[in-house]
Amino acid sequence: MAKKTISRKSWIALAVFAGAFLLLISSTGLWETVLSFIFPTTRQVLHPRGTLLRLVGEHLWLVFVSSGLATIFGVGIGIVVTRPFGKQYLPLATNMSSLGQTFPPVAVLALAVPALGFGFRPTVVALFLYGILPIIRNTIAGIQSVSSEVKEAAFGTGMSQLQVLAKIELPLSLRVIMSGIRISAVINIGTATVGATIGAGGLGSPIIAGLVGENPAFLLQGAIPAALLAFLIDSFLGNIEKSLSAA
Amino acid sequence: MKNTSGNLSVNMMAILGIAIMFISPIFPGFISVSETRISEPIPVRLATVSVVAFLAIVATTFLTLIFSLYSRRNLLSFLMGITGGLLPVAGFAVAGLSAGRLAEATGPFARVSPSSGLWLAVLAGYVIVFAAMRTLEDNKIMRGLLVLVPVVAITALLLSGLLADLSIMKEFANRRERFFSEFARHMMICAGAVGFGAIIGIPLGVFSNRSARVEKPVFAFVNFIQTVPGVALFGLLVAPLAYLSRAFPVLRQLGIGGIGWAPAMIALVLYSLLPITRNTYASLKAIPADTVEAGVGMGMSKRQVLFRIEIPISLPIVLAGVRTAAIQAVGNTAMAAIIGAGGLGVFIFQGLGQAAMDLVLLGAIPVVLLALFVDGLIQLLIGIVTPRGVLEKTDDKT
Repeated sequence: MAKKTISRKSWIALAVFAGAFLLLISSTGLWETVLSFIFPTTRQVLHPRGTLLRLVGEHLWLVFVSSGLATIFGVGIGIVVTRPFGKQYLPLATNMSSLGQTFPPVAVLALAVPALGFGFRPTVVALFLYGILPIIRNTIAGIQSVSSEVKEAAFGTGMSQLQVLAKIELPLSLRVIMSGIRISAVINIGTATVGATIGAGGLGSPIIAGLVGENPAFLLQGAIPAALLAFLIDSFLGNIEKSLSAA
Repeated sequence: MKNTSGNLSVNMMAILGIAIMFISPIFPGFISVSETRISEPIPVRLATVSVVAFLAIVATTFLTLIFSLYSRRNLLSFLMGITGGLLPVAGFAVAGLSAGRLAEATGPFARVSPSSGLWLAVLAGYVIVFAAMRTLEDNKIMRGLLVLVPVVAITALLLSGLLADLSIMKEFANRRERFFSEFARHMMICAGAVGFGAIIGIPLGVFSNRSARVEKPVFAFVNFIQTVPGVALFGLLVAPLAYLSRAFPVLRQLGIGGIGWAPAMIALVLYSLLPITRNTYASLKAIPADTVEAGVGMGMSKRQVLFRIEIPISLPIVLAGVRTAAIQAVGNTAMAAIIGAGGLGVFIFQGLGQAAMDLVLLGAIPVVLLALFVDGLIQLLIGIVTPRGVLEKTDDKT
């Protein structure tokens, strides 16, 4: 009972924070007033690419598509390599996902450009490739943490392979898998910001424009929402993760 | 051999690698040719480049396949790993040797680059070498050679000048001095950031372990910093630093300003804090109280307990945090080129700006290799300092 109230409290706090964030990014007039007050010499204080709401939308869409695909494929690969027929590939999957995480995200993004050109597509592919690694790793770790006695007991009651997976292994490892998804999404929000340099849009575009054109107003316009968005998504997925453990 | 199905010894992992290796030479683009360094690359098949090379590579792949069928024997498994690891190197040699001729046939400014087929061969080589290493688990020398031989071969190939006609090497030749200075700068920024990160992060971890009042705000702060996107953190630091350097000319004389190394260094140090602080904290929690008591019972002084028990047990875990911080710093330093901090990221962003892909690669490939090298080096160090009695898992999730 005590756990439930704590979790409800943190959901309410998150909802308030999300509401405030939404209000902040939709009040264009406020940004204009405050930024032209702080930087009186800067002629253009609002980034011309679009409203903040639109930039946040672009950013979230990039992360949603890539992390969504990464979740589907990452969990899928994690399940396959822990089945009897895929066990032979388990060491390879483990090694690849930890080796792959040594690759700097910026380098992965840069390497996607020669292969796929500029724009939305290479960014999604790079975010997907990078984002899949922590999910594979945590899915494997989660499923492996289910004790063999529990599984044997389940088999003993006459459950099939598929039932053990669906009713025992996945529910018990859900929290670890969710943690992988959270790590992946937070990394992707950060890397998506760099995606602006290859024309993917999102909150990186005012930051990059601000750095290139030495316009501090643009900088803050991208950097503040980007930092808040990352924190918001991290807390949101973190709350889901915690509520899973309470269950 | 662990993976046996019935009487046939089929190493499925090796088969997967060899299957990819077979796709490589028949892939639509083994290398690519473009009219200038920024124009659209046109894929060229390996068979079009050289029939001899095509046949040689296919034949060697067959040989690797035959070795793999007998990979129950150590020697043949070793040979499989060696041919598998050398095949991509051979692919690069073919690309380098034919680049001059292909470029000449295309035009005066033509450029030749490795393409998807060749990169597939690299992936295949990794899978085959990994499969071979798995079967040779108890033979350290053979396993070492499996990694060493391809690395030495590709280094020799680079130094021999045979690759000089490849586009990325032309980009390198055009800015040889700049490359080495940016490389050195990259390493200096990383080392500085991780060094300061350790100087600040280790005490933070120690104090967090001592008092819960310190622990909460410290971890709330370092965790928050870790979620902030790199580019955003740079952006947030640029404006205040620019203001400070305008207000205090002393700072400007020191080279501290809105852009340059100062905001980059601050951001990178902040990012290093989480892994180092968290692992220091965890390492102190990992010291078993009875071990310390046993030490005291044996008549050890406080100093001896610190140097003979506490530090040896915690050091590998702290180093694992340093490793995470260092790998992260290598990548984030590349990003810091956006705010004029220098380093290898300069080539990445210049290349992206000019749409010159081989210049992007000249920045990105060394960054990846540097990250892998730093990872290997610190892991080696962790292996050396881990006391034999401690079989702690120094795993780290970031």
